[in-house]
Amino acid sequence: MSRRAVSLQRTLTVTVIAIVGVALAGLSATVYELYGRGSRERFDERLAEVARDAAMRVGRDGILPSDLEADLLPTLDQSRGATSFQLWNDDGSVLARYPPLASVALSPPEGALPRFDTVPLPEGGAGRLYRAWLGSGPKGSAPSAAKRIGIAVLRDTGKLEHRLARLRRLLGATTIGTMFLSGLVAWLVIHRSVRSVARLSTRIGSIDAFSLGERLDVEDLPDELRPPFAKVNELLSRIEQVLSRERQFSADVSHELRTPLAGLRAILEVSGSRERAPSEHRAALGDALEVVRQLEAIVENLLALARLGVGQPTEEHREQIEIGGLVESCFAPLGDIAQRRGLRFDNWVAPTAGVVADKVKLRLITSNLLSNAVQYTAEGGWITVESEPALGVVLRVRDSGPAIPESALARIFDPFFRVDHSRSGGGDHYGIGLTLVRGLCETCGYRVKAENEPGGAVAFTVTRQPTPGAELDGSAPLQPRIGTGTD
Amino acid sequence: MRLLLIEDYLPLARSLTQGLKEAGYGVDAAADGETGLALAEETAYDVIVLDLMLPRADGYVVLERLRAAKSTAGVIILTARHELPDRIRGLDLGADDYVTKPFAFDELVARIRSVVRRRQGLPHNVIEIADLKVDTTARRVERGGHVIALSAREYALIEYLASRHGETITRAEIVEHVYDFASAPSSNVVDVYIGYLRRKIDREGQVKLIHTRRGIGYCIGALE
Repeated sequence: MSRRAVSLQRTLTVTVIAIVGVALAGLSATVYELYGRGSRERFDERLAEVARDAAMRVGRDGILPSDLEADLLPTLDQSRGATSFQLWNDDGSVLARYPPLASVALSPPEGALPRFDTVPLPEGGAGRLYRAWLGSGPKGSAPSAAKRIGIAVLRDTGKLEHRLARLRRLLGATTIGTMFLSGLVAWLVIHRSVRSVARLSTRIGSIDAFSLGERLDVEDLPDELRPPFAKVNELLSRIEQVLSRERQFSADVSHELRTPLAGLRAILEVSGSRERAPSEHRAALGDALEVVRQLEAIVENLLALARLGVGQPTEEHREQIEIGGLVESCFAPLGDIAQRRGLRFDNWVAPTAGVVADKVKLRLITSNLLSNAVQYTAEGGWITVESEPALGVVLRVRDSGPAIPESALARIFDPFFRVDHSRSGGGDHYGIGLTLVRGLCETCGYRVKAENEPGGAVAFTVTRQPTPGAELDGSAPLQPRIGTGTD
Repeated sequence: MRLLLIEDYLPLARSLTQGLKEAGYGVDAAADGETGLALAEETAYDVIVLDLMLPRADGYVVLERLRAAKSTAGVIILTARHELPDRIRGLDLGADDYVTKPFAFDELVARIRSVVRRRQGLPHNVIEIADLKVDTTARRVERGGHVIALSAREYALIEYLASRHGETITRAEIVEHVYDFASAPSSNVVDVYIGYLRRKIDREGQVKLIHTRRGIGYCIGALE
């Protein structure tokens, strides 16, 4: 089923015209009906008046005045239409005749009651005929003394019909004119609104990634049309924010890669700049390899982060993981650096500590937390790892500091968040390792937080909801904290 | 020429130190801002290559403090931050040049030469003293049209003397500007190398260009 496209402008215009048309037609019909009826009633009354006047002027004895026509002239009012009348005596003989419509044969009234009839005129058109038997003589005289006179008055209704026809035309023209005008006004009003909508949609069409800062001017719009475009503006703001975050992220990623790339390039260029002993080349290649490993780790984290960001359902293989072993294997590649920086590492995770989780994710979380500790703990410090799954603590990586500024604690998991440089050792910022940790924790249903502890130590803790009913006695109390933290 | 490299990314710092030493510079390296500042206070470096994002006092702070302490060392910022505002801020704080990572090693060395040249007020890379030509780009020394083969240290010494030709230069200045700390010169190493240079440059029958200012130091030029 395909829905036909609807033109709002056409629909509204047609609707307005139809409503105005129906309303005015009804109004006109009513006006015409009332006016027409009134006019006809007055017309008839005049006829009856002429008849009464004529009867009144006939003497009680039935003798006609000398000039009945002249007497009746004011009442006859020929301007309202040609009028003729005829009077009969009681016996049916014609008493008097006034002839303008002489071609019509008038007959005496039938029956006692006065009546009105519409009769066709031989010249065309129609006339109104009033017939009655009236008492002669002036009003107020005793009816018994009066003589009965039959009266017929016929008047051409052409002028009345003409007037009514004019009224019809006037009402019709007014109705049609008003319909046209209201349609035009509606069309123009809607056209103005629609045009501003069209203008805005052209603006929207011209907005691209480089002009996201532009906003639609909704001030000119009617109130009803403003909300959707105001929403478009809000949407633009959100897109701009997201895009600027993405741009910042790309810039940060490229920055993240620049320093190791510069190192790699310098190693290779310097090494290849002259003839060297194989041992020197070997040393350079070793350095290069170390840089490549760092680049790999960055790329691996970026990919993992991108997968989290896109919301792809990452494959999940939940299995029983022995945390102590995981920590050992994650720390192994960091051992050299830790040793070079004089860091002491203690894995305090009980052999029994285990969780059911996705091993790949938990490994990335552990590696990044350990790598973070190895990188940022002041030289000569210590790093410890604990785990207490029954109490909800999946992993806690503590180091001897320096402490993270309180203002930075909440934001340390933001991508490429740069903290005061006092806590940056090998790199110049936190990169994306911690961002990845947070993202991974969220997908595992864990929470991660960073805390400063008394004495300058720093703890990163990954927690989950404590397992209900987990036996607590099975977990050995934690060993006393090592007191060698830097102050 | 004495260089100070302040760079916290160790693989880069190691290879740059090696490369710059091989290019004939005396190089000291610092892995954080404060160590770098301390070194710069002790020694009058010719050029400081400065990373921006450093632990303990970032590059801008280091640069500000250097200039506040009236250091005249040429400063080349070497950083991954390539945005325009960063460059402008760095140059306005008194850096002589701004190189973004990754970079070509040869270009960095060329920029170091350029900064050195500007510091010394030299218009180009060939210093001419009478018929002696020291080409600081090709690192080549000619006299009377003949190329003179020199060791790296000999070249470094003649380049430094030539860059200040006409002036008397003390042994201490030579030690400070020509040899790096690590080589810990013995007390007479300057005299020994001056001797080597004389044998190669001021041969018999030629006008002597290297002169001894007894009790003070040395001077190069065709003055006497």
